Amino acid sequence: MSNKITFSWWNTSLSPHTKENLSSDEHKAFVLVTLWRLINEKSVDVICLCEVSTADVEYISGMFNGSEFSIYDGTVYDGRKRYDICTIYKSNLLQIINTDLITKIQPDGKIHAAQELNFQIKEFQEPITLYVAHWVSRLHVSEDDTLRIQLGTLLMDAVSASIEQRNIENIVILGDFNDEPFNKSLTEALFSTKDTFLVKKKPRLLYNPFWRLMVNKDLHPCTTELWGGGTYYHKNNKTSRWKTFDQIIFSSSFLRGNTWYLNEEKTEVYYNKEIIRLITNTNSKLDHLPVISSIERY
Amino acid sequence: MKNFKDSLKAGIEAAQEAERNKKEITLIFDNINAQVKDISENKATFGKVTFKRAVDREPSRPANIFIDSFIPPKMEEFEGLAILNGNKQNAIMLAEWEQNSAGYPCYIRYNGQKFICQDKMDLENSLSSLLEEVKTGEAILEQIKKANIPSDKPIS
Repeated sequence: MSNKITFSWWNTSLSPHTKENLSSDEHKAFVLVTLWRLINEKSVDVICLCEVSTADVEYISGMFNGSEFSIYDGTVYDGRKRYDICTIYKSNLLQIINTDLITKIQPDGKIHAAQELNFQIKEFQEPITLYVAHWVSRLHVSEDDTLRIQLGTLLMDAVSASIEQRNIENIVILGDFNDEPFNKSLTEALFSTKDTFLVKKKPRLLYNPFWRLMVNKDLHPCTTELWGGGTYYHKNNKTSRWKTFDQIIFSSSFLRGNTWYLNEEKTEVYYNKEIIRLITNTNSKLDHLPVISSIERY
Repeated sequence: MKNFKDSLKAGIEAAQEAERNKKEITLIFDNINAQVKDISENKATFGKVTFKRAVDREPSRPANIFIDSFIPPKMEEFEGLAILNGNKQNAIMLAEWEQNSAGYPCYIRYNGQKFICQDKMDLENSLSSLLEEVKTGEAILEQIKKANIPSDKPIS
């Protein structure tokens, strides 16, 4: 019997937009090593990855052949657009029911807010829905573009439908939003907040524990920390090289004392010397750290 | 005593808005139906239909294939958008349909995508996309073809 489910999200940088299947063998091997570490050091049960191609998913699948993990290949090619996500999950813990790409048709084309994955927690026969998101880069769509608000609103509508129409209380949103916890797309459109009191009082609000992980723990003049606070490293940013773009966000049920609760102590940005060295090295394509969060059962 | 009038007024306004939205959606469906009838010479129609499907059930514990084979599958009802024959029967499903109690947003689900419609324009765009699908054309052609088959009435 498992009374916890630990989630991880990671932008692997294996196949970024327009640079599909060009990653080096070293990069690919490092992704596998990091997945192994997440599973064995952090007991992760579900890992959602982005910036992966269909070929990358096939490569990663090789590592899990004959294991207790299954992979859902969520890479979707929709005309010229690509959704670049996959989800690795413990198949003795979760059963996948169905999946959908959350889409809106606009006069200038489609927008995709997230991949919806509906799971059943096998042991307890309870539903849990994941929304796995990779929003457009700030290189292509600026921080204040209305598209970001539209993506947040679209995702919120999908979450609301799960809660209200399908009576699903356990909802986890994982993603690289290319926006930080304080940006309007996540606060005013998706209604995610750091205010636990309000989330308990207003069940439609979502809780974002990644507000706490926007800065490192070192207080000046102590400077021993490798990590700069954040999940994404952009060397040339003029005011802040680290941004918290990667987040795991929870529906209010995980704070309201229902059967599953968020164990916030286990919410973290995963890093070690090696991954920080690669991220800060200009020759490496890697620029994101994995994030982890865990729910437990009373 | 607390004054509840403002809350009551808000509730009534929300209900009226929901009614307007639902009427608007019904009109859009009626419009598509009229056009499907028109191009198929009344041999095909379009509409919202309630379908049934089997829900995945966990096997018995300990697993017993013999026992499991005698347990009828659990069924659930869901709404779908469909092409039907001229008598509004023999539905061919195109997509799943869900609707918020306020009318919008509504949701159209097919081909691994869930299209979210926040207003009339979104709904019209999403329905246009659904109607352009090959399977929609095939469904209309199938209803026309079936309507053209002569019935096997005995010659008296």
